[in-house]
Amino acid sequence: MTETTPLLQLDNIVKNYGAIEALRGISFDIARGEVLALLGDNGAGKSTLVKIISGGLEATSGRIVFDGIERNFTSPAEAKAAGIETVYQDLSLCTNVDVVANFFMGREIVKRFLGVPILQEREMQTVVEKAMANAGTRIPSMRTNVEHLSGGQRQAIELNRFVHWGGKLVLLDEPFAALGVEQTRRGLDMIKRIAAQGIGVVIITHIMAQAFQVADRMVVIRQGKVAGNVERAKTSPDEVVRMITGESL
Amino acid sequence: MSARQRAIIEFMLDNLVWLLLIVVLAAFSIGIPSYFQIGIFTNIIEDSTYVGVMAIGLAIVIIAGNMDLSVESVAGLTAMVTGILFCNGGIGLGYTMAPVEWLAIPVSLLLAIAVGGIIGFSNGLLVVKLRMNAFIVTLASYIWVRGLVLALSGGRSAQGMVPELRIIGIPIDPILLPPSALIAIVSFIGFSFLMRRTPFGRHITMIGGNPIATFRAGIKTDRLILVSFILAGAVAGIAGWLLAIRTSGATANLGVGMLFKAFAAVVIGGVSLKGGIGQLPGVYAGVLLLSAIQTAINLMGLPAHYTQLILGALVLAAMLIDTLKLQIRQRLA
Amino acid sequence: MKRFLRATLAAGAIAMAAFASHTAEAQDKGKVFYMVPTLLDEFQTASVEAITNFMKEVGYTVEAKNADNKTDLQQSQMNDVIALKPKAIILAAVDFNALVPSIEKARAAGIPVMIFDRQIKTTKSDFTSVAGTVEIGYVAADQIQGLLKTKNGSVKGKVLQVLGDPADPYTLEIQQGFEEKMKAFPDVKIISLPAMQWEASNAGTIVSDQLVANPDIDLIFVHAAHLAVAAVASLEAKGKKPGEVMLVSSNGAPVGLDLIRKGWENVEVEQPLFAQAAALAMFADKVINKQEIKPGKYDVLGLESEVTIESWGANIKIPGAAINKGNVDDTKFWGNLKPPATPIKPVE
Repeated sequence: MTETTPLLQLDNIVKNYGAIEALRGISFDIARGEVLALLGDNGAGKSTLVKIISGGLEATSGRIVFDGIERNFTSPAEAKAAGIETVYQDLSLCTNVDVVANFFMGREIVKRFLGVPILQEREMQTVVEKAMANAGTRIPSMRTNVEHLSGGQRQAIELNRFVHWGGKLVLLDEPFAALGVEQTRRGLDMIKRIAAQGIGVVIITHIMAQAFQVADRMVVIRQGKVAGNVERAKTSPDEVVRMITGESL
Repeated sequence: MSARQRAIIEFMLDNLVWLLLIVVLAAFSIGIPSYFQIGIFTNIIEDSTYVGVMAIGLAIVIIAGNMDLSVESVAGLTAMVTGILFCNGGIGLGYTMAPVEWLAIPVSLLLAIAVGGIIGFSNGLLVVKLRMNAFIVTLASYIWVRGLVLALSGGRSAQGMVPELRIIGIPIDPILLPPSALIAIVSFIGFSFLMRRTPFGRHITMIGGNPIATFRAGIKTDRLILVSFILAGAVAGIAGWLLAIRTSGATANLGVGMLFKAFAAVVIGGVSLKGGIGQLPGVYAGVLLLSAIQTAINLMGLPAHYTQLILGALVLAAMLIDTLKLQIRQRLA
Repeated sequence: MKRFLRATLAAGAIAMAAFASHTAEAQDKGKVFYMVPTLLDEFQTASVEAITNFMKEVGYTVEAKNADNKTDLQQSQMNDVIALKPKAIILAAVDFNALVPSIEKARAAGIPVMIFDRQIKTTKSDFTSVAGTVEIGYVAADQIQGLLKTKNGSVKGKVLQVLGDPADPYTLEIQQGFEEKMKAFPDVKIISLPAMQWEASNAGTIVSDQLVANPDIDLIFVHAAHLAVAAVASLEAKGKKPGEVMLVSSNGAPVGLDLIRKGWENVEVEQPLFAQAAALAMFADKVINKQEIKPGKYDVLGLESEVTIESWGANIKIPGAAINKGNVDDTKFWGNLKPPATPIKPVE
């Protein structure tokens, strides 16, 4: 396996729901450090595809090669263990606990005392502070409950957490839907920083401008097929919109 | 607002009920003759034992974002089981563990925990596996478990607890508190530690905040919710065991009305019925507060109907405080 | 667990068999419903057995409907039962007034209604058999005066009265009767507190608190024997010995009799359950056949009882007996749970 093998290869992915073909042979690659925008109209098959990549659904046929190994994820947990994770808006954080608790959700550092696992709060806080500082994210206190933090800060926690725990491919579903202009700008910066660390990023979005600001490549899904797979530099928003709607050039 | 100021206000909100307890105790001590004495304070602690222990399990289930209405009936059931086995009057069978009589303590306690745990398990299973609404599932248990008490006892009472169990309810000389009250205090300390310092408690709290996030993070949410129900049942089982010892027997309606008090204590103690928020020490303060007020009513010798008026007003006040705190928190955010 | 169930069931089966052999030859005159307010206390539970067996001795089959202390449930049960056209309905009302329309409806449909244990004076009924709750208060007052006099030389001292649920007229009437008779003794201080929902541990808490606030309490009067159990537990926890604080209770449940035998309790004022139930059976034929009931004295299981014709109809009032260490084992007390040996004979 070299740096040039793609991070993820999708080869002729088909998904049938009974007689209905949701996906009709999807093939494309994502490289390490690449930001890919996944575009398409509602019902085009984007969310089905995302679920297959992240283990939420199993494909009817086709091959998924991730990190050089053929995979057949049967649950999100398996995909996650391999390093693939979907970050949904507001579905990944518990706002009623602090930053540290969210960062370590399910992977807390413990020390056993008489067989009882005991949370090592100080140790965990140090780890989070370091991870946040490395990513250039500033949060006033790691002990603040997440409900008091802004949308941008929450996203930063999610992404830093993902990177920290050895994530390799992150799928972002409408990551900027609820953010203001300034926060969106910072979010886009963060995505670039993450990609620069060699992590693959898939962004699912409706907003063409954002896709063009951050993505290296656009993949358009239409009626269960790849209707376009172009580098950003070689295309234009108009062209991509035409791919999405299926109008001929 | 600085993080420090916020932290102070948060701390005050979290511990509001302790503050309230101190104020109320001071006011009663000044206003009611014969209130300010050790005997009354030990009574308050002892009286808080039964509702308090029950409230621990209820609080844990509520923090996990669910509901358990069955705790009162479960306590009634384990009280009846303990009563039937270890009483020698009424319908009691008067079992002893002779020649090692003290064995009756662990045996009856474990039995109560097991009976409570089984009902908690069945509640949890229905909620987790069949995705039934916890309110409905446990409402059903509230009814059928009380029915089981009736079936077991035939509506009759057991009376005259064997002495080796009675000692749990009799004050120890220097501290003036019975072992039962110490069991309640130790339970609160133990479960508070469990909730605050172990992954279990952390995960339960997070599930109450956002079950989808915890599930996606690989936490076994279903299993933990099931465990929370088992715990609530088992702890209610202990409450019933203590209740039987305190009453030195069991009647078919023993414990009736305690669910309401436990709920009031949980809410007054700062646990949000929406889940994810609340701490057990606050719940204990809530129970102590209720008991302090009840004792004041007893001492003032108010006419009968006042008791209900005051208790009703208390619940309303608790809900108002809950709403108020939520509003303050939202303003903080 | 299984073992209890089996034990309970077995005990029940033996009791049933005993009663069945007792009454085998009576002919079947039809069905009577007994509307029981709750099965969560011993008196009510025992009343179902007593009424079922006594009515069977005079030829009627009784089916009990438990209202779980809920007025609305009892109202709907009444509606259902009326539709089944039984020979008669025996009603022990959850709420004294709320059942009046149901009684009127039943009687309008030609079904006689017999009132058991809980008096209803605001509408006509066909027969009423009650202990007289106010009278229980009288008997208790009389006994307590005697106990105080023996202890303190004259009728003076401090009495803690533990009521049942403050919403239950039953407890309020006992209180009324008791306090009415105690008024003549201003040297007796009475402290009255309610045990909410008749729940025993509530009574225990009241006793614990009052023992601290008023350590000089001479006597505790609780309105039901199951509350006495918790009161004794609290006394014991405070280091009291049996008899140190006197205890009087009313209703005569088995646990109360046990406490008398153990020396914790001085007097139990019995609610004469067996006689109350027996009176129903004695007059059942007359009520159901719509014959006249004559006022006068009647012997009901050895208790001299009086039938009067009141504005609400024929009424039999049975005096409650005072049970103490001397007579506690007498089988005529329902708390000993031995049904009377002599079969019930209908009044001619």
